[in-house]
Amino acid sequence: MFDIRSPWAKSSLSLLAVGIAVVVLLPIAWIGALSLKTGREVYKQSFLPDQWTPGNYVEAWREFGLGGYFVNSVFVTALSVALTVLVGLLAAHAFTWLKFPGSEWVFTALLLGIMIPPAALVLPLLIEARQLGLYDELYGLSLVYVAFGLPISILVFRGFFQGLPGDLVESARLDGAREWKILWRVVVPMARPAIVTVTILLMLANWNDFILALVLLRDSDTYTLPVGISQFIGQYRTPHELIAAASLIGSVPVFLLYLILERRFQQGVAQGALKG
Amino acid sequence: MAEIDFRGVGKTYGDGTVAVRGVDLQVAEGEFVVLVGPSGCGKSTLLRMLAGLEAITEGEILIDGVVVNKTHPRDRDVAMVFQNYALYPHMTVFANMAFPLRQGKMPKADVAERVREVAGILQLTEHLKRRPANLSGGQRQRVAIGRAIVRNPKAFLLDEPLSNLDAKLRVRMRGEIAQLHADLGVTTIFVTHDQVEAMTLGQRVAVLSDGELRQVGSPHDLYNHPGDMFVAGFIGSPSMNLMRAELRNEEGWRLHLASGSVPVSGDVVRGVSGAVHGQEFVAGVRPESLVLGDPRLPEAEGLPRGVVRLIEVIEPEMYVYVDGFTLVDSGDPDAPSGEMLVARQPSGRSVSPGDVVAVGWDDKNLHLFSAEDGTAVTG
Repeated sequence: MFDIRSPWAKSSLSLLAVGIAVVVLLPIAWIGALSLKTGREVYKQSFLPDQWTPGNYVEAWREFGLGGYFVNSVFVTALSVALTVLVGLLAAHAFTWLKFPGSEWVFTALLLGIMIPPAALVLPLLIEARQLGLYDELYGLSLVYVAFGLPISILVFRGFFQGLPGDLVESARLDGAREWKILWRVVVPMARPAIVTVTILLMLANWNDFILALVLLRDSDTYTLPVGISQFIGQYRTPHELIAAASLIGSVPVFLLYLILERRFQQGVAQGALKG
Repeated sequence: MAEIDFRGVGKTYGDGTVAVRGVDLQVAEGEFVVLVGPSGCGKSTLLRMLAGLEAITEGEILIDGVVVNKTHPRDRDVAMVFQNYALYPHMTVFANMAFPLRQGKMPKADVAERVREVAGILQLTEHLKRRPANLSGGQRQRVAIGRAIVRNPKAFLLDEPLSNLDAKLRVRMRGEIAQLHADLGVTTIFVTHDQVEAMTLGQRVAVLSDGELRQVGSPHDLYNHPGDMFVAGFIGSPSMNLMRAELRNEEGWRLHLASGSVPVSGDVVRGVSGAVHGQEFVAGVRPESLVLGDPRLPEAEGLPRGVVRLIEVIEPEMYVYVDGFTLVDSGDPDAPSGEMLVARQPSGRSVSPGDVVAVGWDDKNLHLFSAEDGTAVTG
């Protein structure tokens, strides 16, 4: 039998973990190194820059107007994540505690949304957005993100809610609370780990989305970071070092938020374990 | 305080399962009624229908004369204590107890005053700032009760509230609940599967089985005058001994069991309408009413006899299990069946496993049930 606690197993698992970490971190390190090279060094074979050029970051920010894209990305991501979590919580509450005829069917139909890749719907979405006046609007893009984020959010929330003791909801009902209050005062405080999980998932997806933003935004004033950065690619020259710097700048907020939320997430899990 | 009236209440689930059928029960204002029965008998479903947590599929439930079938739980003004307490884990004891009051838009100062008052009654004052996770089982139970009484509901519904506590604490909380009812006088319906809890707490006890109400009465009535074999077997511990018997008239009436017969007085026979020679009954005798005697004595002549197999001493008594009889299944899944009678005797008696004993009883302790449908035919 394979004993996971044996020293042999422990060291091979550690080795495996290190291997995976290297595979994951290497491209990031490579981008990091690239972002510090000069334009001429980019095509040289050395990994580290000969001449460290941190000025690339300042240049990328100024030359390409990253600030504007940044604001757009923050707006779109914040709005879409907040809306998705809000609507997802409401829907999951209904699917879990307010069973109605056909609710299982509606739920199943909703899950189909997870299986459809956004890229497959680009054209119909574009036509729809134009007709509804949502084209080239940041809130329009946010609504599309909400639509794509809802199925997975509802799935995660409902799964979590089903694990909560139903007596608490019934008890609150008998105590005179209305459904809205039950959700906010009783269910949501217990569902923090699920909310954090969904927030992280959605934030990563929406912040990094390229294809939908590319299709649904026209004016460069409305570009989000991934689309904005892609504009650096020129016909005759592509400043790879600046793109690398811009990409790293763009990933900082997600990285930081993830770090903060992840700690909360672990706290939430520990709390849940002690409740029993 | 309220009067509660179940009228032909039934519950059939979507898949056709019948959980409760045709329950008629009136609970008077301020009364303490216990619903008791084996697990799956529909007692919790009945309580949840009263609370509004389950839809009523047949009949109607009235609170203070008003049909509440379609009334939302929050508008029924009943408070419920759940088996697992259902305390809000992220709120302090104070917030838990204040929760029902805050839904009613009560001024803050009044909420605090009322919570403190109830916390005082339940000895929770020093725990108000703690969370449920940091309380003992008994304290959590008190918080759950406190949350129920804090808003002076029309009725308390308690769904197996003591089953998560250890034996000693259960006895203590049982006493506290009885005392609380005596002090507050609120109509209370208490659900349990434990017949000891039912008998000690209830002013009246309603026995359910298979979704049907079998008998409602005072604990004394249920014990001494069970309406059918199920109630006879369910109430009392150890259970009543139920044996197949035939009534014969050979130089006086006698009840014939497999291994002998016991005389029956003419009064008992006359009490059974239409009793005839050769009629079959189920004879029920409580363990404490069984008389075990030496089979060699002249007065033991003809009496059924059996072999002592097992003796359990529970000072100051002992339970003597006598083999050689055919017991009838009362319908209670937990009741004994098989071949052994149980007799409750003072622990000092000299009986040992392997002894052959003659078994008899006094007529006045005999319960006779119809062999066909199990209903009682004598008091």
